[in-house]
Amino acid sequence: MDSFGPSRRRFLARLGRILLACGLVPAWVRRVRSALPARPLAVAEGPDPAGLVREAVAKLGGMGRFVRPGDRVVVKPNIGWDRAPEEAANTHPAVVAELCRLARQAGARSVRVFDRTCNDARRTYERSGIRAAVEALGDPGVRLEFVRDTAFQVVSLPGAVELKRWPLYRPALEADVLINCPVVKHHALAGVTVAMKNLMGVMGGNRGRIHWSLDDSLVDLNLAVRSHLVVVDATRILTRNGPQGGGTGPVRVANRLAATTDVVAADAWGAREFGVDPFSIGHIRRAHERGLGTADLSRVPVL
Amino acid sequence: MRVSPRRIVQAVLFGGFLVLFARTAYRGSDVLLWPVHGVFRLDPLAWVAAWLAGVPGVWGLAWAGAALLVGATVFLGRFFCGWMCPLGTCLDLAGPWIRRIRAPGRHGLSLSPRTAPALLLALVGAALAGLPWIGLFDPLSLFLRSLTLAVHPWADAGLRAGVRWVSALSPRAGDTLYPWLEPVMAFRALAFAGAGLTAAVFAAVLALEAWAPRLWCSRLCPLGALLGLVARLGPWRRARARECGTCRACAIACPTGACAGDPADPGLCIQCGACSAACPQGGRRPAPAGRARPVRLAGRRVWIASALAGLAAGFLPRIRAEARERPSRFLRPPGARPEPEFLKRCIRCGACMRVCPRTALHPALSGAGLEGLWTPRLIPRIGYCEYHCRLCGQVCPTGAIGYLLEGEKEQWVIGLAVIDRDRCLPFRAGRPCIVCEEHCPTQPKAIVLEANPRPGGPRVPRVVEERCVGCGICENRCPLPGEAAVVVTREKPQNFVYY
Repeated sequence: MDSFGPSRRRFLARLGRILLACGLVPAWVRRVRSALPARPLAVAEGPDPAGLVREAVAKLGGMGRFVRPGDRVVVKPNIGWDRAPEEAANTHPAVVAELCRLARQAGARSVRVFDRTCNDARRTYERSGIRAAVEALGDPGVRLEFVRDTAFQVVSLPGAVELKRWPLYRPALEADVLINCPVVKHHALAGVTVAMKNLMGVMGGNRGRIHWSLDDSLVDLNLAVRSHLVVVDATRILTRNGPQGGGTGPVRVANRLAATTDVVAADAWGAREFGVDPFSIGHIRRAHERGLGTADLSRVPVL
Repeated sequence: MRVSPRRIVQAVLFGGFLVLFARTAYRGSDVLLWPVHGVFRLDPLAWVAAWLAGVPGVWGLAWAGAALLVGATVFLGRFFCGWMCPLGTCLDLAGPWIRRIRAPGRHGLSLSPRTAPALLLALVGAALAGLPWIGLFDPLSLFLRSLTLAVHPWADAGLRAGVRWVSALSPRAGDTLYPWLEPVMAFRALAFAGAGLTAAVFAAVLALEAWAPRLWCSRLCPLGALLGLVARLGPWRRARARECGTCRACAIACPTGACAGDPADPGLCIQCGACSAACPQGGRRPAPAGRARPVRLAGRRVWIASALAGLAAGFLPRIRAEARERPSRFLRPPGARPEPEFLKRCIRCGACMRVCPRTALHPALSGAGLEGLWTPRLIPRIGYCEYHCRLCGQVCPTGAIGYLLEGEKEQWVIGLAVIDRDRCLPFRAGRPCIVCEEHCPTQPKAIVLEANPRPGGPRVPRVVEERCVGCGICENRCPLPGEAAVVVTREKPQNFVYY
């Protein structure tokens, strides 16, 4: 299935991003873009997380719209913390496993699941329940793997304002499809974090430094690393003591989940589920202003 | 080629030791099965150290292995040294290669066979006086410590470099190679404070092989000396056959010099069987000790002098000022006993440093004085203490680090984090930064954000002292270069226990 070089569509997308980086595409592109209808957002509600994933992805047209046979897929959940599923610090294991299953069903050659964690990765993979859930699939094509320190690659981020060069994780950059599946969580600096901050999991180096200018850095990162599908896990919402919580005290069970291709709309939806105005969150507002996507949920068709 | 049974037993046990070593790591369970510290349950010298430290339960079943070994040594001699000891096996492996550097034959460095018992007595005397150094010389402890702090990280660094080079040549080849090496590689690149010095000590023990095989074992090792004393009590000796002439093949073949007399000196004989193998008549078999004691354990004055010297050395730390001024950031692992008891109990085996998933524990080469050499200290800037992890207490052979239960560990206060406002960015430069708050694991958080004293500035962190457990993840993750702007100190805010 290996072809030489990127497909035409990917080549054009890359070219477009390079032009954007060079400043060759003036602001009218953004104006045209904001006039176009925003990308749809599918919402599902219910007590079964795996069922929610199926429902939301089906509303967007099924996994086959994102994953083509032979694709190398990366599923990037939040596995950052040594916390149990009910503590809502990590993505729900059933959500992760269901996404892997759907991707394989759609013909993915391989599905890799990983996160550069905050606590010890061996502990977080275990306690989050994600190892058990992924291994229960029994599919050798789905691999839950630890991030390797030898596989980071220093890259220039096109169109970046703050984060101009940074080591990023090569398997995430090389993936044909990146499925970003964050969890909605409180965060003292950002207010609330969803999909955009989840991509910090592909960053190497001393990434704590990006908090010094978090808003633009997150937009830079998301401009360079595109999430082809975003599945926001709001089955449980961590309402305080974020981003790692502790116990079920700060957890609100919301039983909701959304899927979209627009990372900013995903963040905006998550913020609204969390109970705040998306435009009051710095990085969501900046992402909207810089044209990464739309945070204006009134313009987003909800399926 | 015929492989002797001894070599097979040595290989199997050495491999077993490495398997236990590999198992002494987090593998998805908070409770370890069969970690490596079990080998110390066979170690009578570790038992002596524990007994001198007043560890409860030294007469219990937990130490039955050591009693069994002592009992077996009475009848079988120092078979532990020749057949079981991993350091001995290592010396047997490395010795021939090391001796190749020099011309064959015996060389100048000759130590009296009395050295090892004298060292043992001196160590016991020192331990009684307050300088608990037995563990520094215990061969199992020495070996495990060297493996943990130097040999394993070194080998692992080599593997890692290999993967990196291959990946640089071809990322795809690197991806193929990595899954094969992953099971053998350490989870993260290992680095320990004092790795160089630990390696140097180990290298020195290996270098003794250049002078004579098993020079460490027969002339210095205090465990060997202890087992030798026990072996003297036994009824059997290796003796020459009656028809033996004057060939002295056995004496030449003997690595430890035990066969110089007849019967062989059971205090030195490691039951390697080199004498029997060398004997043209197949003599030098274990025989009942019929005649007088083989080599009189002479030198009452030597023993008294060495015990007194050890006792005197044991008082040395008391006149060193370093003992009075310990750094404020010298931290012990979670579950550590109060300091005086901790120092007595710790046998410096390094098992805690081996098992720590974040390589947070490092040997103390300064900071704890002479009596604290190679004891574990927690250095949060290198590695923090995982909130839910409680492995170090599980692998401590003498309970210097106590066994903490789930829930107990999360309550254990290692120290107190304090913020340096002169360096912390929100205080100093008005830049937002919340990394310490973000990582704080307690619920509610021990680091909270408050309004900036200067109006308009970003919120600033504050440590809520009664919640802080001193895990040090804040210090570890502080994004400033070099020293962190939040550091964990030895203070324990809840109970004000200082050590």
